[in-house]
Amino acid sequence: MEAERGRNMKKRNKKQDQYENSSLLRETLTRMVKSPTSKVACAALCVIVICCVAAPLLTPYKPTDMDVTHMFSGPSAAHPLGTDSYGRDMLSRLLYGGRYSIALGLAAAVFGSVFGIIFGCIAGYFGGKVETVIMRLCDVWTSLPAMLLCILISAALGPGFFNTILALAIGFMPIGTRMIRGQILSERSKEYLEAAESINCSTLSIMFRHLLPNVISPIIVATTMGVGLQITMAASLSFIGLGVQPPAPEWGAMLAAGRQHMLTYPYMIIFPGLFIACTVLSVNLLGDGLRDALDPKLRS
Amino acid sequence: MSNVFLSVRGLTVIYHSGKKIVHAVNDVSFDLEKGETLALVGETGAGKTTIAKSILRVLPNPPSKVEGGEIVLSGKELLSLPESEMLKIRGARIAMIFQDPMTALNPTMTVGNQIIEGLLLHNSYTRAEASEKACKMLEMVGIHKGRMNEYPFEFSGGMKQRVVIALALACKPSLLLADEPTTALDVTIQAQVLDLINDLKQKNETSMILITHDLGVVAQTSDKVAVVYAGRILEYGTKEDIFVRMAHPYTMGLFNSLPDNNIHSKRLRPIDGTLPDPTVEITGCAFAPRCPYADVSCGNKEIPLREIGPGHTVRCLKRVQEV
Amino acid sequence: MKKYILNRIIWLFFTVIVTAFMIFTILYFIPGDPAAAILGANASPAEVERMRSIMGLDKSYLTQLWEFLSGIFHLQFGNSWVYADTPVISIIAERLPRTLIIGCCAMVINIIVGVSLGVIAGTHEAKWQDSLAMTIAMLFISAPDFWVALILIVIFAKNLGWLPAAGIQDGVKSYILPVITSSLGGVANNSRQTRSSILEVYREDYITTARSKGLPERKVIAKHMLPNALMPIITVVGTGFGRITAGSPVIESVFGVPGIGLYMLNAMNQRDYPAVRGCVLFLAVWTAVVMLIVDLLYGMVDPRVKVRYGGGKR
Repeated sequence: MEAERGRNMKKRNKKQDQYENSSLLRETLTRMVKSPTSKVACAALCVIVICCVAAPLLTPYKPTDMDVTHMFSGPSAAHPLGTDSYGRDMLSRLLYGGRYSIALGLAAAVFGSVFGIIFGCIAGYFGGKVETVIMRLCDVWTSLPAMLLCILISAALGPGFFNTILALAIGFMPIGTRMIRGQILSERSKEYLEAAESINCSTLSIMFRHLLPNVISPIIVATTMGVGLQITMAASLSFIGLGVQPPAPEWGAMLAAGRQHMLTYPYMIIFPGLFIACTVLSVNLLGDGLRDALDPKLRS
Repeated sequence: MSNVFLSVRGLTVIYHSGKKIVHAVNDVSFDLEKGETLALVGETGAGKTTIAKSILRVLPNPPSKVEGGEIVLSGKELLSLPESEMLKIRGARIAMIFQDPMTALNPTMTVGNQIIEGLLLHNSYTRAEASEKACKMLEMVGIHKGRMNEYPFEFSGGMKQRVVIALALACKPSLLLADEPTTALDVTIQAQVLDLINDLKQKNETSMILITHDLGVVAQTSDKVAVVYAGRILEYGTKEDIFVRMAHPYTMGLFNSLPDNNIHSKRLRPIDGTLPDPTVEITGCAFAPRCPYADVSCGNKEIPLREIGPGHTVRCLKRVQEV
Repeated sequence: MKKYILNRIIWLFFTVIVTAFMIFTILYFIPGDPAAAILGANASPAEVERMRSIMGLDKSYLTQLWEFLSGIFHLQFGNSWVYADTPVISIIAERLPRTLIIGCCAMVINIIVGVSLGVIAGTHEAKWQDSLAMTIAMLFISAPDFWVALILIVIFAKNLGWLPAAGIQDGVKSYILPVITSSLGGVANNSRQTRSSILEVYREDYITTARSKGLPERKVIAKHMLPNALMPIITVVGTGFGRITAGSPVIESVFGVPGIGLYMLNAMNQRDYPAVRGCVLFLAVWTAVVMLIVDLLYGMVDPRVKVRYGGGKR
């Protein structure tokens, strides 16, 4: 039956192929919509992202507008979340800062996964010495605590938005490599690949059109969870002075700034951290929902 | 009546599956005498295993629920017993042999320890005594006692099933529930295992409920037979009643679908149609949609079991009328 | 079994060497002159040159690399560039115990609390215990650990005044908050993994067999479910072991604990490369050794591995 499927796939035209892939997408979306936590998480995430993107519309202040007459004022009508040590409005700093934090997390996770997929595919497909070398390097990479690695690379590359993305992505990469290669290993012996080879599919075609769709689900889930992880890592890096530098209102950097005054003005650390926690929570819940929706065992 | 060892009356069990309710067992009643073997025959999904697991009360509790009925074992009603009492009965007075020997044993525990565990639970042996008894059990099922300290993965399928049998019979239960004990085994091993079960049963005067879909196994081992379909008993009687004087159209269909060397036919004769959807409540006869003799009256109301011979009952309007 | 151990030890050496190579190279290519950074902006070019030759920076890359690598196996990481005449190793030795105390205590909490939470959640699937446990786990994972640290400091040090805000001068009290903060992520991960392991095992046939013998439920959990669910749990616990016991520079920074992580951060800022190398290498080796021990534990728990490597009774 698998051999027949291999033959039939070649015979089908492109339109039907798209239909097959989109029905997986549709099925996944339907299942996610059924779960209440997924819906709430997705909604919350959308709200957060929209607020950050539409920041100029939501707040009259710019994140760098200083107002020395109103430093350290607590939450009030004019400044819903208070002001910081320079009189800058916290809410607007948080909203603009969200752009940095979320973009960092997203980019780092996505790039890390992409690099990971590439290396994992190479390792998994070619096997032999290539695989051994790549996997050994992966093992060494993961034997270092991730935070340490990111600190080192970030220090080496220097602070800044894109450098931080690179540092985080490099740290995240081995996870994706391992995962993909493990998946490929277990799929490699399956018959539908033999069937595709037997009808003369090119190597690239086999990798992308047959192998990848079957191994992609765990990667999607891992990347989604990775976004949450990377947002936190990015904030940690900024917190200790690497990563994104002030006056950029990245959430971690805001926590670092607020720390000096937290014993007298606790709201300065409560709000940035709350924003991070809520965003990461939504992403994680979304990732959980995605994983349950993509689980083939639950598909009836 | 005084010989009745196990009495099941009106057993009804449902499963919650998502938002639907699966009616697994519907108003099942039967009796079992001491030392007797009752075969529950039917297709996969008919509810036979659920009946057995209800007697032992090992149904997974969140999805499944016993809605009603009464199970009386030597005077004790089982369904209303507190769990602490039931713990004493499981393994000691009632034991079960499961269908798939490959997964029925704990892979991280030696075979010997698994038997010893049961022995220590229900008896006041010392560990050494229990160990000796476990060795004896293994020998009884034909496994060398030197293999006590081996793990399940070191045994073949047939040997694993023997271990499961040793486990079940270790505390000398008076009722044995055997759920398709030979289905997962090779034909040659099947015969050995059946003989073994029969042997042990006779030695210890154990009553047995044997679940199977194989009529050949029924013929070899049972005294009484109950034909189960969609959670209901459609026909009940002695082995002879069912094999020689079969009355229900479903029973006839089962026997007809056996390949027969004597008839020169190129095609098998299966029963048309499939099992009814267990999530839908059925009025009237469950088998009617597939029955060649059915008419409108079969779908109207609940059809009771009618006696058509001494101890031989059938749940059918048509056949009873004809007899 | 011996072959397996030997294999893993060789692998350990390989990891150490590659890590050393990596850390050295990364630091080497950081822009800027460490000597100038340490001496400050007012140093004259001649002083900088002399500093460079003291630090050994005037030698070639390969020579420096070789000196570094050969020093490792004598546990010589050179002298600190900031505190001249103080061997890095002695500073590390002084600061290591503090990091390890936090890490190991956090690990103990991870295992006990995490696994228990997971067992409760797994054996009460879809009931309130499950939802509660998993919600707690989710919150622990999502909240950044350094933020929780700050909040705890505000609550316990400022508002309630029960615990110190920073430093380690108050003995046991000063370790409480760092340990709690460090254990959050691990508790969450362990409980989630334990729960899913238990769920997989819960529906297995041999669990029904155990119940049908008349075993009470808690014995079924302890003697039949847990041993079989243990493998993935050990993996997760084990992978976390190295990482968590190695401590977190961020946590140490928040609580002002003078451990290895904080030392490394400060050394980075001050461009004290030998110190950075020493810290990173130490932590990497520690993590690798811990993982080795975990792997060996694997072999002892899984009877299939035991028999294959000759550990079982035959």
